[in-house]
Amino acid sequence: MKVHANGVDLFFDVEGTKLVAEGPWMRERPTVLLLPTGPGIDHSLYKEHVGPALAEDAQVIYVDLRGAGRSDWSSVEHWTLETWVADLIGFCEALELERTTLLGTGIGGAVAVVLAAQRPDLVDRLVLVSTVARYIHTRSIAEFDRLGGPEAGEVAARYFADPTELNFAEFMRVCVPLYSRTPLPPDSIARIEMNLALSAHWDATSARDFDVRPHVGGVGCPVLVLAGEDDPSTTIAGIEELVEALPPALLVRYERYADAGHGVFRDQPGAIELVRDFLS
Amino acid sequence: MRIQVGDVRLFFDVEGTKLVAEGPWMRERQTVVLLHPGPGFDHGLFKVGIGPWLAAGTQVVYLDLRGAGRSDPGRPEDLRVERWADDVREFCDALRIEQPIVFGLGFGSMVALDYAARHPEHPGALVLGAPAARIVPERSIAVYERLGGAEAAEVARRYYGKPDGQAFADFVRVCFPLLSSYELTSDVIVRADWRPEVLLNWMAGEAKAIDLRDRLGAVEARALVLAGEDDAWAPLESAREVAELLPEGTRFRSFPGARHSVLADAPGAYEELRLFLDDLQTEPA
Repeated sequence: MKVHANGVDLFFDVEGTKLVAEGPWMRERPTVLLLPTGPGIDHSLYKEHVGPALAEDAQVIYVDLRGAGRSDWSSVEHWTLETWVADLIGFCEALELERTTLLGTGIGGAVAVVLAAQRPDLVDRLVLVSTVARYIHTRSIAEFDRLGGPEAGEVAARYFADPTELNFAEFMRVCVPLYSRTPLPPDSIARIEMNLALSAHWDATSARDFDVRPHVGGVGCPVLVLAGEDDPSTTIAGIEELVEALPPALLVRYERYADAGHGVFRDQPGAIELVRDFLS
Repeated sequence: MRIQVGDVRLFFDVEGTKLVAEGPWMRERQTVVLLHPGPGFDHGLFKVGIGPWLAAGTQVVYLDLRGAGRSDPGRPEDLRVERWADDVREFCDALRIEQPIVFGLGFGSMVALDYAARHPEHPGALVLGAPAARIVPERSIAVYERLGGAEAAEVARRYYGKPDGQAFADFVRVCFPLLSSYELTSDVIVRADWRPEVLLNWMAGEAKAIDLRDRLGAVEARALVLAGEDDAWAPLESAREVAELLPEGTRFRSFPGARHSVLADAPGAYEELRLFLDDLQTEPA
């Protein structure tokens, strides 16, 4: 399905019902909106583990952000954090999603923080997976170097300095396999509807200067943060900058996993139980 | 979730994903839109049985029609089949649902028929459980009499004649249990977000005159009609009449002993549904 919001059609998919028959009642379950990592990739990775597991106790909504997957790709000047947040506010309003849990990975987590700060009425809980306060490319390059050797570090440095689609292809080949300790299966990669131009544009522009810390003061709901210690994309140093900035009273739990990379769940499937506990 | 359709917001729920991971592909599954009996009942009774069964192979969308369940009540003058039928089309447009299989039960199949007649190019297919193109009280009263004796016939006669509060209360007590061959437990009744006034107003108004027979020739979609031979809401003659007026190739299956809850009453109905859905896959229109 798609819904029109903020001038574009956004694709979404659903797993699990909102209302379940239970004796004489229709019981309402929570809603979880999953915001993909990227930017430039679609919701499909969430279909593997995270969505089905959470759909046991919640209605899970998968969405493709503007510029990715089956949503309108729109154009380069709209590929910004501010637009994605405005799109999702329109999305929640069009579907009357209220008091929703936002689970975001990577850039999806940054979108979740800013949305929660702008519209606390829409957000019930935040789960920030592999989400940094800001991207510092030198930190990522050092981690690629540590995890993949000097070639990986050099390829990453070349890509971050000059994020063309050509350099991105090399980055995909050498660096992306280092995102998680458990290799991403080729089928999983093939299933992603990717917008390489968006990924490259982001790395050339917003990734250099965005910082969610000025927004975190507006967050008014409980937050769960999950981090992998072997994540070259969203480094542990960047994640801890965000953790330190969050209002301590709202940070329900911060869990850092050894031997886990970007997205955490692929390497540490048990982490999903923390999210289920947090939702209940 | 709820979405704006015309001047109202309509509640819908979803079971099963549209896209499923399959090797290197995300495979698209068909969308089934379920239309509940009523009017004034809601989608809740589909949540046990047919909804989960369909969701194993399709994306199921449960819709509360205007005036029902968790959808907006709408203006009284809009609570008529033509508006409900157009709502189905506009609801699908708002969510970019294309070529849906529209599946109605009882009153819901009346809405599905009018929708398919008014928007012949829109549906991917139709499944009509216990359908009727018109309400023929004598036919229904005869079935109530056969199943429940003289008292049931008398109560039904009063309800169809002048559906006021007392007649409805008696109807719920005496005739409702005859609409299903399994025990319609109090849970099923209590779970629904009832709007009895919507039902009573419709029974006293549009139900007395509505006749879709001369419009069914406009339907183009492939259709499966499932009828219960002991259904007092959609008596066998009424369901057969629908099938006969639909395009050539329409499948008609009736089940002995099955009442208005035809799927719950006749396991064979699920078999027919399975065959129909499989054939839609292998023989695209």
